[in-house]
Amino acid sequence: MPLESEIIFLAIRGALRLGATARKIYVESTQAEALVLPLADFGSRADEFRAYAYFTQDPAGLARAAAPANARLHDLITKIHAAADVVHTLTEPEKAELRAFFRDCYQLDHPPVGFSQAELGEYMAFATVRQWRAGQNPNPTWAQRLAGSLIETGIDYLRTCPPEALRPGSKYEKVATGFLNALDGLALGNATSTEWEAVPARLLTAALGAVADAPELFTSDPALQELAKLAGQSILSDVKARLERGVNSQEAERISVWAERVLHGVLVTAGTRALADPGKYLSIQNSTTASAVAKVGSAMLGLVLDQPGNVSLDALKTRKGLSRVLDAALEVVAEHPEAVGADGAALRGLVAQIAGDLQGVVGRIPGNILPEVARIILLRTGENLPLLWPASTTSPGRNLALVATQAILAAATTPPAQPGQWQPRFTQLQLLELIDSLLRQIAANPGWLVDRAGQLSPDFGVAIDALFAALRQAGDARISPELALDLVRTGLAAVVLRPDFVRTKVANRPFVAALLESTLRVALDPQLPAADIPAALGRLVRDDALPRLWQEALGALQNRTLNDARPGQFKAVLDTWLPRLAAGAPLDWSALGLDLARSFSA
Amino acid sequence: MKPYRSALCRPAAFVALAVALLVAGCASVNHLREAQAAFSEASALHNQLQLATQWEAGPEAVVTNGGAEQALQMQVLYGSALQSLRQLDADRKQLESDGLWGVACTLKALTQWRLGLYNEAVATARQARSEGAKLLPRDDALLTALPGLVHNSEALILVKTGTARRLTDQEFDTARQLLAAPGDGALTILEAARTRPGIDAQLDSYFLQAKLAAHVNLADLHLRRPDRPRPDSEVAAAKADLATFLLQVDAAGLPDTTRAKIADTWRSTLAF
Repeated sequence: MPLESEIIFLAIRGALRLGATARKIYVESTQAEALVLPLADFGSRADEFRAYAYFTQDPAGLARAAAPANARLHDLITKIHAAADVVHTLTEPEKAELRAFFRDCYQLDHPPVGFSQAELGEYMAFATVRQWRAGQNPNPTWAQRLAGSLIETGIDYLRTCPPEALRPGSKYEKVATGFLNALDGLALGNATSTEWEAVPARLLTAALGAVADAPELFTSDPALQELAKLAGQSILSDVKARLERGVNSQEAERISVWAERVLHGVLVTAGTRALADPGKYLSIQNSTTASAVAKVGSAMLGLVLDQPGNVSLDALKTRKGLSRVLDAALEVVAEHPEAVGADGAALRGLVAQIAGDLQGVVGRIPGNILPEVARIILLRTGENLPLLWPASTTSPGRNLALVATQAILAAATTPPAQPGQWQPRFTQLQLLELIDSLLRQIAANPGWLVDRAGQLSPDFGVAIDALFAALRQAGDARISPELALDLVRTGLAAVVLRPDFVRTKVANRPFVAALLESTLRVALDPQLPAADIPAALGRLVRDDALPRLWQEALGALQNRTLNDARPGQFKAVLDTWLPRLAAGAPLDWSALGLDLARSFSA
Repeated sequence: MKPYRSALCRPAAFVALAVALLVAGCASVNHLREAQAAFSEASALHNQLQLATQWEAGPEAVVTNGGAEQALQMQVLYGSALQSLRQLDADRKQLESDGLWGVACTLKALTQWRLGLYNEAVATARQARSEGAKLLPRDDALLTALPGLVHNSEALILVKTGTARRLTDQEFDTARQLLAAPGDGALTILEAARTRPGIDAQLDSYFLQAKLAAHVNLADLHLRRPDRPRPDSEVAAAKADLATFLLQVDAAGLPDTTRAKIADTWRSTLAF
């Protein structure tokens, strides 16, 4: 790899060379700029002299003038005749009358043919003239001229690389060739200003950088070169369209920096995936997939550059963040090319929506969790696209995985209602595992969690919210975050099997939350003589005991009527068990289960 | 995998400086491009007004077609183009070395013509030629045509004078000279422009339309002095130019309706 100082000089030399080339292109395009030329001046047809000529010389005009209905016209013409054909003889009102007769009579024979806006545009295009006859511009095309400078920059770069990079047919050469091929066929259009100058150089550097960073990825497989070409072309087209809209130099710089970063990310992530699963990504027959993969880069570029004012995408814009999202996006589009949408719009919309909808809740979590959350949403979405994102091309906001994730994160990170109240502090990994497992659960149980209209059932949000609220209400520091998540997962699993656990209310709370709260209170605050408490707690507040107890309670109630009395009955059974546990009796889960069953059947 | 860091990104400040130095050298080109854009926009408005007001007479035409604002906008755009072009005088050497001085002079002459600065327009065109500015094909042909375009506009002023009152013999002769003098009449000059080397087919069509406009003005001139009939040879020449132009329109690949309307516009304007 080149040294830092070499890279700096290389960059300056490359920028100067490309800058000079770009200026040349700019000058040449100014020489060649097509101009709309103004038509030469000529008088209008509303002219009394033309009118007189028409009514006295043109057969159609003569017939009109002779018509009995046009006696007044006849009078005017007679008056001009009397003055030796001098139209000036008429007064101004008479001239106006004569012009009006001319227009009306002429248009009877020749209906007016006004130009529509489209036709006018076509006429103007016809009046637009180029500097040179077609095909005779002596200057090289912009791509030809730029390619020369790019090749020189590439050579400079390769000189700083290992000797094998310069071998004919090296990976570097293949990728650079693929990239230069991507330039072919892109007309420069209006993007001829100096804003364009840095873009191809940056993208070439990104392509070569991808080879240097992950040389193992760039095999001799021509399909991978094709993928690199498609990705480069897609991003170049996107950048060109953006520059053509007219941007200042600061914005142009931002565009080219991001284009470079995105292209590098696409090449490395797509390369990694292609290596792992060549059948999926490099199938020459599967051009739809290849095209969708190429569009992912544009989608990501659009995401960064078209960031809505009220959404911060900073979390996704780090190299690692971008790479994670790209990776997941590639996985999704390989399975569902349609999910990328036209020009990557659907995918871009979804990721922007993820960033927008979650920005409030992820702000409560230390570190940068958003890229991973986005990755999980994209991956789970890809696994069950018709269920989780049925309106993928029209409504990113209706992605059920996103809706569910928002509910999960909101519930897990809601601050305590009262100061001093316990709050479980989850690690990023724990939250990500929770989201992942719950999204899998949704995908596996669409019947309950997704209604007929394709919306996420409100039961999901209510249940998860209530379970975390119960933890905050009755839990304390003796409950580890891992244990807390286990209790939530168990509660939700029971709710999936029996929605009444959330729909039945006890003291205005979902039944499942009331029961969890009751379980926690008995386990954490046993009504025992003080000396017995440590022993009882030692048996119950363990990572395996409490979830099992919770599971037993929910299992025993699975087929029972749910009512206000149940939490009390549960507590009564535990109260009988606690002194025995404190005295050293074994925790016999079968016996406890039977006790619970007996109590609930009473 | 090694962490990727952009080669061109790290020394961003150095690169930005290098690029900024190069961009600074583009100020004159930018002015020229601004002028080109303003000129094209103004010309499109001019053409639109010219075609939309064919059955209206005098300034009221513009008003009744809702075009007063457009006409004003057109003047402002031409004025803005001229202002940009005047700023280029200080950068002449740079523009000459870039091969853009001829482009700038041509655009300036055309803009002056459209703003009614006829003497200045002809002087600019003459100066560009006499000082040996490098002229590209379109610019060379346009500078050749420019005196013809100006003569045609000046002749139209006399024709309009003849609308209000009878033209004197001298006025009539002057107008005829401007339009049809064998050496430097508009028709002759415009025909000469058509023969300049390397011009595009659409530029040739433009010159033919300019000739048709001169034929219209010549016909209108003679209508104002019925005692001075128009020579048949001139009518025949107008018909020949129209026929050539219509062939070019047919070959231009325009949609049928547009092609028919362009043809009809010129046929009826020429009263053929």
